Amino acid sequence: MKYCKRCLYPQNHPLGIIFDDDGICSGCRIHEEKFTLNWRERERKLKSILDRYKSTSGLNFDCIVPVCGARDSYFIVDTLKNRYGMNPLLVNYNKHYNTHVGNRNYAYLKTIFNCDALSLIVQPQKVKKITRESLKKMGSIYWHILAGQSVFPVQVAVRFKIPLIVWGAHQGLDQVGMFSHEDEVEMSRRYRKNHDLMGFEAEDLIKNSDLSESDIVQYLYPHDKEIEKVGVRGIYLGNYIPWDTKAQHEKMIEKYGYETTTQQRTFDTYNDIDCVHYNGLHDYIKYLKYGYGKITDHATREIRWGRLSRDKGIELVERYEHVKPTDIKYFLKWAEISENELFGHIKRDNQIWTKKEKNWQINDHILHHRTKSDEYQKLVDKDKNYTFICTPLRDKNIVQDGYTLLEKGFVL
Amino acid sequence: MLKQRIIASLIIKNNIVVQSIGFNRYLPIGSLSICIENLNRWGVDEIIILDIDATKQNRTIDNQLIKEATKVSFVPIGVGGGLQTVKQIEKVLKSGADKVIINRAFWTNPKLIKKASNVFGAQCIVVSLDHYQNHCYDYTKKEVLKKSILEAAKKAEDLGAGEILANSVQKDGAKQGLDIPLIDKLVNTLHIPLIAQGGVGHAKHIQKALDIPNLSAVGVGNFFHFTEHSVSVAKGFIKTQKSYPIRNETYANYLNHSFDEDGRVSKIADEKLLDMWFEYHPKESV
Repeated sequence: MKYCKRCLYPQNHPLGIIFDDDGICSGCRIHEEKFTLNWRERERKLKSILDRYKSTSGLNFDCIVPVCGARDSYFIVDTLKNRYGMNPLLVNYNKHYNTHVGNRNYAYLKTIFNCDALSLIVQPQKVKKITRESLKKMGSIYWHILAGQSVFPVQVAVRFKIPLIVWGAHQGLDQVGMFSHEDEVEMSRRYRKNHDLMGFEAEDLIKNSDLSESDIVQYLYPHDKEIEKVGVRGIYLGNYIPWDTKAQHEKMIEKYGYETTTQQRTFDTYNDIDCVHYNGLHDYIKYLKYGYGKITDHATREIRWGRLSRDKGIELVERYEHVKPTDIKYFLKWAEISENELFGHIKRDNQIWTKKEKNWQINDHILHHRTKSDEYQKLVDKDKNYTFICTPLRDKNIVQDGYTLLEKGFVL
Repeated sequence: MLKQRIIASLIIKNNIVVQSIGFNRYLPIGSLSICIENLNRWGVDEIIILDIDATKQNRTIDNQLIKEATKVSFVPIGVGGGLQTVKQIEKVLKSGADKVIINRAFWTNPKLIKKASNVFGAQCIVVSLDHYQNHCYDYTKKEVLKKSILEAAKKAEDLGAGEILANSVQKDGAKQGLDIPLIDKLVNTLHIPLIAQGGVGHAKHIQKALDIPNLSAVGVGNFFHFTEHSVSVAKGFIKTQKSYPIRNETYANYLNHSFDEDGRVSKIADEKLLDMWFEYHPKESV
């Protein structure tokens, strides 16, 4: 297996990755743009785009912002509303596997920024049915979330005639450098199907299954003509602001009391803390499929920012990668399946795994690919360490035990 | 009058679609069949698939890949990548490709063009010529050749090629427009259709090339990966400038939109959006 000489990414990255003649991956090369582009000019560009989408009548929203109880939602709303004076409609797909911390962050988000918000909660039995099918078809417990959060904002855009959706970072650009920031890539159904949904749109999920069209209505993409009629576009803030999720979250902790928490399989205490499974079972499944987990993504991100050395990154991978998450039991109970059945649906990537006498063996690992002297490593700033802040819990009396669909709001 | 075509050119590396910049840098895009499925919905006229590693690795483009791609496509597909024999060409055509694209073999084995053209018909043999300004370019060695592209194109035509694909190395991925003067010269030299490629970063670049009256087609690579409905938006932009002989058959055709300086869809006026909001009923007095 080929590994990037600068970060920790392997060649079998599910989003696709290209190594150049120096052995550096496309993601690292595109990350360099964060240091080299004229970001002031890019922010001016952002302002000019946003200004044109401001409602002249004041009767409609200026844009839609997809939000949740984590993942830069505070930063995105703060940037749009307070820095650029936009009047956004917040749109949220309820993940079902919610944590208390995430629910509190989302509730405070709405009140702190004083925004209108729409939330979609799909009926629990349907979510369960869909998830059993997605597990069968693609070994994913997360499909309904990826599908829901990527389509609900688009449905709201065409129904409410709000032509602009503003997303945060573009995952493909950020992780593997699919696009230059200057390409100003926009949301597309192609990307959604290929990378968010692992090749399965809702219509594909119901083929040869017990599901019917009525089960997946909430996950259907609007027709091309509806999108055209309203002129819907989805832009990514990360193309105009040098996206640094760690720094951004820290600003939000300081300014608005964004709540953070430790996670089982990563040192990142900011991202995806709204979900019981994201950095637990969902990530463990990722490791079983591809031979690496979210810890590799997070360490890679910090290495590229020069806050972490490659060696230290590999050390962190060793520490977190094998942690068997404790949240598996919640999923098994909810989905009413056994552990054997759950893991029986996971198909391992044979580029990295080989089955020997009933046991899976990993063919290669980043551990065997330490690089000695990379110019980039000399730039690692020892003062800017990768430590993530852990805030005190707002409510110490509530214990996380399973999922929480809804909680009371917190009016300030 | 024959319509001018807008062709999506999909570059394959490690069996996935990539962006290509200056024949030198590559960025991963994703699955070929999902790209093709969407390009079809967006109203593309034709698709070209080029496996740029095949010749270098002394193999031909993956047959399974072509089969998956042609299964989801309703428009003609041209395929290139390591094709050196009539047998290999036959295999690609049997996998569902409508045309084959020959690049290196034109230089190493020019007889193949003649032979293949006789066997399968000129309409399905495309000779692809990479060029650096007016000179031909060998991408396997990253070398500018001393051969003029005009002469090479003429030679390919004489050998029986049905179409020429000219791809500019220095314009590739630069988003600054196509090499218009050279395309003009090529069109005037050739009697067979030309596909001009390399440099599209804005719909106006396509438009400028279509202004060359006898240009048959424009090939677009990276640019079609950037936005939703990229093909129909580009066609809408071109059609709203002037009437060009191009196909606009998709429901979503962007013919009633305006566009910003980047060629992206502009916001529809608020009044129009509000009109769409609710059904209007005048105030009632009962």
